[in-house]
Amino acid sequence: MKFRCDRDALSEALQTVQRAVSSRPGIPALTGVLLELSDEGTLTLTTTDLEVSARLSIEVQVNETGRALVPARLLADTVKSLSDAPVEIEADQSQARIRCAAYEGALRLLPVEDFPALQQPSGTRVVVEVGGFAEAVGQVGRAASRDEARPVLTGVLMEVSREGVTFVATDSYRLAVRELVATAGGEAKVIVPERAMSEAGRAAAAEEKGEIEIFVDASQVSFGVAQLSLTSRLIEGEFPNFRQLLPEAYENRLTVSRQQLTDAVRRVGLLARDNTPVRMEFNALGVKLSSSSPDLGQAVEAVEATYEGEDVTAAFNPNYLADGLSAATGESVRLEVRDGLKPGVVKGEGEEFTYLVMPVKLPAPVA
Amino acid sequence: MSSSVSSPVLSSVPGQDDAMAFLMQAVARPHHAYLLAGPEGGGKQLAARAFAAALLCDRGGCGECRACTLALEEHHPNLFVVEPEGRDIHVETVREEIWHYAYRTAPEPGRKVFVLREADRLNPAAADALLKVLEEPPADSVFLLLSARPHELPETVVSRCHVVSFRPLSEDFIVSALTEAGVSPERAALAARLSGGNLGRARRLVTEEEGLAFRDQAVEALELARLGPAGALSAAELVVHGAERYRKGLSHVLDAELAPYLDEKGRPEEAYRAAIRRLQDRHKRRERRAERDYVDRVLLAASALLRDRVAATVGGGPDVAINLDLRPPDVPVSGAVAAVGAIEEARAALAEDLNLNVRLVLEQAFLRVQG
Ligand SMILES: [Zn+2]
Repeated sequence: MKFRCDRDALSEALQTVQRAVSSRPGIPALTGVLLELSDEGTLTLTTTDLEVSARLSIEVQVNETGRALVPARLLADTVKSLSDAPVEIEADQSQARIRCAAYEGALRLLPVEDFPALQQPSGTRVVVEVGGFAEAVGQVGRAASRDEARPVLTGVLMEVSREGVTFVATDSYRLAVRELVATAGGEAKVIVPERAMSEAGRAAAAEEKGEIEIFVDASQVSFGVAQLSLTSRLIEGEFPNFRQLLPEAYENRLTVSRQQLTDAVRRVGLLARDNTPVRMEFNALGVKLSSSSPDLGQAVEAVEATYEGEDVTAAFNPNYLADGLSAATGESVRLEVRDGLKPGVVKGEGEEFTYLVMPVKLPAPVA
Repeated sequence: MSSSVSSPVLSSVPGQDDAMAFLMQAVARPHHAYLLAGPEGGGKQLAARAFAAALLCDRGGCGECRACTLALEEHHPNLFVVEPEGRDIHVETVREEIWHYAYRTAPEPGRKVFVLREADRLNPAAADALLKVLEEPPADSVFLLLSARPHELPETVVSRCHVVSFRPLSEDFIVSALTEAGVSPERAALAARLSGGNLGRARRLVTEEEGLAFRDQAVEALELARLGPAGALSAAELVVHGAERYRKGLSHVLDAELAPYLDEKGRPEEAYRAAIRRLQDRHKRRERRAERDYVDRVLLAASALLRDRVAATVGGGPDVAINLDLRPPDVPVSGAVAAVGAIEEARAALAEDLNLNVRLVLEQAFLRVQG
């Protein structure tokens, strides 16, 4: 295997795929990047950590086709440190020689047969616009659970229908749902590990325009953005029936400046420690937020807003509420409440995003 | 379906015909969990790797394909091996290395196989977490629990497993395994006798550079112990020191394993911090085991020397002697009988409880040797 290419292009490609290199001990091959050269003058770089794999193709000058598994970190650092001149890499059975200007180095190869056999993207094809996808991932990702004790909640549900894709995540304290218009070739319903989702979101966000091509089958999901393809294993199990959790409609609705309410929740929330909530009193003038911690003190802030409905008092975890407010889009935001025992619902200016936050039960008022 | 699946990879595991026959008939339609139970050195790990290969190979364990080769090296992407970190298998380890992968689609098409070495080291929280997976086993997953102390596993876990029993290997079997590998019959007989049914140990006895050095140490320790209480303490010191030296000799293994995670200047790569910490933990455990193994070998040799002393007095010929090449130690017969008891008790105690203070156990044993 032998090729020659531009240092910057190779360095950038190595940095990109390195995000999927494993730090799991046990299988040395997972610390490598698989380099494959085709007749058509393409170098494909592949890495995997058994959950997510990254595959990226760049144009190079191919002298001899073939494949080699090279320690990813070492190769990336070496190429990055080379002077700005064409790089030549040549691999035999045991090592990869790197030449650039006056530099010459050789890296020991990893056993290429040990590298996992990755499956080509297949199944239901979905195409969405990169901007919308990146936004959707950003909106729901934070609601996914970090606790491995309930594996399904550590993922993002992706429900594909002819009309589009619905992304859902919940850690059982909050639930985020985002609908996205898409061109889909069929129906599918899978749970994607949150990390894979956010890597795909990152890749989409890096593109100014264009589309992301998604393939979903029973064992994996692939996201193709520009020359990069990210493939992830799926989480097995039953995702909670989220539609059942979404309330039909509320009579009490606050319409408020998104920025103003977010800031107030964060400020007042500073004194809400150790799971003490921020108390919210909704009335015709808007909403009054308050919090108090025995050891720290108390804070109060009133936010003027339009409120339709009965006077209601409810309490929420300020971080969860603020997450929902900042995930919504637009100047103003709607916060719908029923009473202190039902979840609050955050909606942006459109109908495509819904964020549900569980209330915290308030202690009985002291006299 | 044929019940006599041909599985070269399973047939190649020697000395445990019943266990392997059981596993062989299980390959076609495996249960979701097995407990491979039996003494150290009886081939449980070898059997687990072979069974994993049989479960991951399209042909039920041909022993030649990529899946078989990778599984036998424990490098197969669908094979997940968990072992104690430090003293226990922790609940985080079960969550991160078992649950995480158990509830995800397999890295490569096919089954997932999870191997838990020294499963009796699962702490209570970890055992609970494992139990949850065993109660609702994910599709296409097979769990193999290995243990030399199966009675220390919670009954709830054991009851979810098919138990496969491994016996100590017979002396004849070890002798023939060694002679087939080109070891002289005399050396093979000696190593088999001194190995206590542990093939791995017998192999190390004949192949390692130090060879039978630990037996010289047993001779020396017994001589010291005969000199009285002070001698007994020195004997214990001698063995502890020897074990420590032996352990230090293993450090090059860690260096080789760490190499891929270090940068050009030999410093740990930031991204690999967790991997390095785990390798170091695993190595600490191996070192601790090596130390224990060394002590056990010395004690076994001491016990054998003393038995020879008893046998020589009652007129036994060379076929009852264990140390076929050495003159028995110069200890009174009555004392030798009591001393064998003391040393065997120490061995049993150390095998049973990994938390015991080795030096104390040795001192107590050697104090009883002087008789
Ligand atoms: Zn095979």
